[in-house]
Amino acid sequence: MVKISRCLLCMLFCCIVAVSCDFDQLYTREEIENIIAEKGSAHLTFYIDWSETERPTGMTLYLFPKTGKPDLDTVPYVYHTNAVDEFSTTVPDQDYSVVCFNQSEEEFSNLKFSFSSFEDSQVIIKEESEEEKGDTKLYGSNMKTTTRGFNASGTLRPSMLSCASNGSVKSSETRGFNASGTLRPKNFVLGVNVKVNVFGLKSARAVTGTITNMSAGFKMGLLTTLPTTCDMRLADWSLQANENDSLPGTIETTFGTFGLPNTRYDNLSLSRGDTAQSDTAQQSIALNLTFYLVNGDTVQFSRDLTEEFTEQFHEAQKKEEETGDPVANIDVEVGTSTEKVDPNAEYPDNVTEQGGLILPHVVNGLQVGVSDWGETNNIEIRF
Amino acid sequence: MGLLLTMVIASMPLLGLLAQTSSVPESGRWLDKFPVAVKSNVLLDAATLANVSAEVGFGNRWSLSFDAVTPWWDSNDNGKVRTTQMLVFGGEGRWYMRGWNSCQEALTGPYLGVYAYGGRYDICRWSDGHNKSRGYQSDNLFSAGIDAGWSFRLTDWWRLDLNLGIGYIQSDYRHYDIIYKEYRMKHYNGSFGTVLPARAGISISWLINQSWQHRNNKQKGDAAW
Repeated sequence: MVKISRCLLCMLFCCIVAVSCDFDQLYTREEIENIIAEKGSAHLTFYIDWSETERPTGMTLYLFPKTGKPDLDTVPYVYHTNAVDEFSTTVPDQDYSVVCFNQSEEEFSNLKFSFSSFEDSQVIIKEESEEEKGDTKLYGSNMKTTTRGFNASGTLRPSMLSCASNGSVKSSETRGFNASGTLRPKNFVLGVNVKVNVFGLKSARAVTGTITNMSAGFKMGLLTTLPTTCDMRLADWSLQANENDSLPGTIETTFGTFGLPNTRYDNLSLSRGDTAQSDTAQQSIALNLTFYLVNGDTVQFSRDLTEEFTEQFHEAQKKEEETGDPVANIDVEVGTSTEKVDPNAEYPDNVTEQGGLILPHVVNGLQVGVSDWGETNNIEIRF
Repeated sequence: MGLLLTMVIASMPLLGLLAQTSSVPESGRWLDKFPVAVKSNVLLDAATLANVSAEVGFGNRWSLSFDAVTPWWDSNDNGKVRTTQMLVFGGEGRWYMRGWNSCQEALTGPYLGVYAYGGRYDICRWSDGHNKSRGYQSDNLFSAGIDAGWSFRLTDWWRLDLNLGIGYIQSDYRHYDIIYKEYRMKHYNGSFGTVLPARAGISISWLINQSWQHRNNKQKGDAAW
């Protein structure tokens, strides 16, 4: 008689246990719908329309439970997905608020997100570290400057963040009701093109600047800019000098901003677009410029641009309401390109009547129109 | 399910019958007198398919092995379902061409074999093209064929087994989609049957009882079998 060893008995036991494991059951669609209805769950479907902004490769959705039922979790449901046109989920049957934006929180290194609640969902610009500030550096004959280690156009890139939200996506009092709606993200980082007319620009080799009292962040649920303000550094200026001292040269740059502080964007429903309203008076917006002259001197200017910015933001909002098309950029100009000055005259604070800036004339350094670079002179040196 | 249980239970007396037909010494347990190797296919391990085999040698040239592939993984990342659930059992009979005369040379050299296995599986993966998770579930997977390989002797008690087999594989399956992030909805039924390379392995095996026996014999001063 063959003795069956303990080893073989163990193998047999393991096999019996293994074959008793079963697969997940397969259902028909009708059976699944019945299960959802019995569970008290709701199926939500969102259609995301990216026509008003750049279509991303991924998106993030936050679902905030609204009714605080004691047996339901109030922590938001977070979804990251590469399917940006349609999103479906099954959640407990109750009302929700939703915030949707392009990409994900980790892909914006200079922004900090917070989603403690729908009303407090916000994004804020991170403060720039000391290492990032760096100093200026001269590039080539167009006198373009870039601040080392710093994002061109400041800490925000125009059109980098698009967002949509809805305060109520209530499924129904009926269990198992399927709700659907459209989210239409809009761009909330406006591009601002700043152009400054400067006389005597050929005396300068570099320029840096800041814009003060721009909104530091954006409330993604309420679609409102934060009342908190920040000063934004302006880098990547392009300089175009004019040989004629009577006519201005120009310095230009572009930066991204959430806009004026405490500006509301009313969101009327899940499927309609947004309209914008400007709120109470804000702090003054100043453009501070520092010019580095060819003789080593520096000249600083500060201009109050509150009126210009406010007017341009309102114009952009009005245009959006009228045409229905989003406005991605606004233009702010200091001085005028057609103004002429007398190079020998004195101007108070070195500012012209139309707001152009005047730099002192210096003779050292690079001169516009120098044509004899490239000729070599052989000089014999005797020791 | 019944077929699998029958296969497993039926193999037990078959093993006993084979043991009785071999030259079993009168003293001692019969299992101690035959090389028994426990092994795992590292190719399947690398694919997260948990597997184990036991090979029993007898008659200096023959062996029978019993294989089990039993991964049971299931994860759901916000609707991206990844399921790898398999219960596949089988066996293989091998003829070692060179044979062996000592326990240190047991189960080494080139060999030819005949295998058969069966089982059930549930495999589900995310499909970017369809933007959903899709899977295949089956209660009858069957394959039989021949294989060949070479078992290299690494040490007295360790072997590196390389093998490749070709055979017929057949399965009826149910195709499903994942909807609402967690429910498996039937899509359609299908089946396939074809001849293809159905078996490949790089296995590390350990002659478990022979190393113990040799250690015991050395301590007692007895000669190896």
